[in-house]
Amino acid sequence: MSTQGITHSGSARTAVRLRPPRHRVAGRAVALWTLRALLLWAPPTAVAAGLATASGITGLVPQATGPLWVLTAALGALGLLVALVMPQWRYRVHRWEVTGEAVYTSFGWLWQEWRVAPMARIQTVDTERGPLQRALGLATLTVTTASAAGPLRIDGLDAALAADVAQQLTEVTQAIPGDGT
Amino acid sequence: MDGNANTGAPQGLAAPGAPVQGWTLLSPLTVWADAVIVGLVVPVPALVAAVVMAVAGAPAVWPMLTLLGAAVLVVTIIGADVMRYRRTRYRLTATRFEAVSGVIARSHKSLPRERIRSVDVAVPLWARAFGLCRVEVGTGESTGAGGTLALALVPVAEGERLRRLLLAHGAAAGAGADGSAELARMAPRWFGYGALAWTSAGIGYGGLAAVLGSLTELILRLVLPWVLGYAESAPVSAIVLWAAGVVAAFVAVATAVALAVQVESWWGFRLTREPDSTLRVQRGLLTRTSVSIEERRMRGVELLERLPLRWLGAASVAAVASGLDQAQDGQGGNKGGIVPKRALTPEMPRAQARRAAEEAVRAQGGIAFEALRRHPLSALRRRIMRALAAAVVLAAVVGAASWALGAFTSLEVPAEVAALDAAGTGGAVLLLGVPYAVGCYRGLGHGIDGRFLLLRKGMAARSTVALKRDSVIGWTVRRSPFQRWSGLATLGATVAAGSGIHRAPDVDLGEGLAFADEAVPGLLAPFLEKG
Repeated sequence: MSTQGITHSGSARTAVRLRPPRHRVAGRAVALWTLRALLLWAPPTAVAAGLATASGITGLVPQATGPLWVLTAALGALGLLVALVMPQWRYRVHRWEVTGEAVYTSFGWLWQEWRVAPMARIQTVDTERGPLQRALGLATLTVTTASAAGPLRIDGLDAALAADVAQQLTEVTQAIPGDGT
Repeated sequence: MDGNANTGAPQGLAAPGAPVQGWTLLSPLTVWADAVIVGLVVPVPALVAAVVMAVAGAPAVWPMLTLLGAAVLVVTIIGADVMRYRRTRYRLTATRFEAVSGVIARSHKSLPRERIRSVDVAVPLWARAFGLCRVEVGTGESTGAGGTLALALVPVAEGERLRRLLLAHGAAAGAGADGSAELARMAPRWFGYGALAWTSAGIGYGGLAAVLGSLTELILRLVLPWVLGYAESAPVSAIVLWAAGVVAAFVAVATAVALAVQVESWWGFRLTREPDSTLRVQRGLLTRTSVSIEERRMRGVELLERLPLRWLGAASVAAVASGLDQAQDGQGGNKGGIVPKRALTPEMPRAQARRAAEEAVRAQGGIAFEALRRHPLSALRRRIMRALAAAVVLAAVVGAASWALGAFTSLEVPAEVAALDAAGTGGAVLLLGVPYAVGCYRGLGHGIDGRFLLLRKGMAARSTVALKRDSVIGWTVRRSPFQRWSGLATLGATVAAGSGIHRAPDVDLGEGLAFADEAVPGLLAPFLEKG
């Protein structure tokens, strides 16, 4: 309850900004995100369309057919919109950088996030490649620290580059003594 | 992994408890202690059931079968326990602590001694009579349940020996138990806070509600007709008096249960610093519990002020330390009790809680828990907007429901009534929501004091966490579309403890970044731009 002693920070607004990390992810990541969005939105749209068709053919509940087609159109339009907008937006946000001291990433589109982890605190470095990523020659690099929250994930890196970065990070962190806590 | 499985072959001839090739068995009394419990838990209900059946006039074969089944069950469980006892052994080598267990599937767990972070000793009531205790050894590893090893049960002296040996990493081993410094100790008055503390009161009221719920049938059949009959003839004042009496009785019983839970949990509470650089919490009436936390695992402390008790000036303290938290327990719960392992104190007067928190992290000069920077007013605006949005949505829902009731059923609901319903709901939500929003905003704060980084948030459960600045191992900055619009950000400090992150919601972006940069110099600096 006691809020005395609190100073207002409004006036002394220091103009500090986070600069974006230096590197973009691979351009093919746009294709990856587009495909993922389509794969995510297609099934509900298809189900709605199927229900609408079934309702139209059987005529069991005639009042439902119209709204079901509206639902199908809405889901399809929303899915298309996300598939068109989200990948480009992400591509402008998703960035990464590895310096001598830290790993720095930014990701997201509507909700955006920046993460920094010092080299000395890195515990594991993994790359993973799903079927879509393999088809596009991409990989996700995951860097974890001793904290249970906030692993740094770089999604949509070129696969060869991801392997190089992982190798480099592993070497650097092994050279640092201690268990990263 | 299972290379030692064969060494664990039944050693029927070895004296119980004697070391076999450096291996120690559990206490042979384990079987007796467990048998007492099994002997109480299984036959008593079976006997009751048999008597009920016999009285109810069932054929004699049914009570007999029930008793026979109970006997078989008891023998099976005790037999399994004997097997478990004979096939469980542990040993302490120079570098590792190992245990082999399992009757059919053998498991061999081996923890490197230098990674052991916590040794918890619990004395359950039934084990106390036999002088036994349960020992749980943890490494604080964040992956699954692989990091803990439990021994049930060993003699109390052996438990104490293991605790001291396993936690003495090169520190002055065996420096004597009397070298411990007491940081806090229970005062009898504090048990009173149990009536309103979240866990104990939750058990009190929740338990009573559950009991009443299971008696619903009885109440509807027997009590309700009687009440209705009485209400028809009795004067209003008598009915009001009766209702007040029932509510008072409900509160009294729930409070009594809550107080009992608090007494059981925190009886004889002591927070001490041991000579081997561990913090030790000892507490419990029926089940004596001892939780040890290595000091170098302490990332900070949390001062928790939960609502009804905050108004009475109470607070409690929890550790922010690795290897203690529910998420890392493997099973996701607080095993073996209702009090989380990270709890360092019960609910106690705020000034004392503060002092205990400061002592726990060796902050001699104290920690300025109150001198925090306020968050920008746009953070308040966001919270009020949320309250308004909740009011509008709920009002619309209630209004629509009232209208639908009139439109689709035979009920007569005039438009004014529907509008009144909506307005009433909206008003009520605002009446609660706006003060809550203001409280949330007043709860927000962040600051730096000496070695510590302070983050405060929460309305009903206000938490002020003081993190050691050198234990922050990363930063996250998250911004929603609305936050970008109003120049705010949610700043997160990651630590190797608990949930892994502590957040300062809705700081001004520039100010928050400058704060993070000041709190942990160098980490964020290469990525900041000025001007």
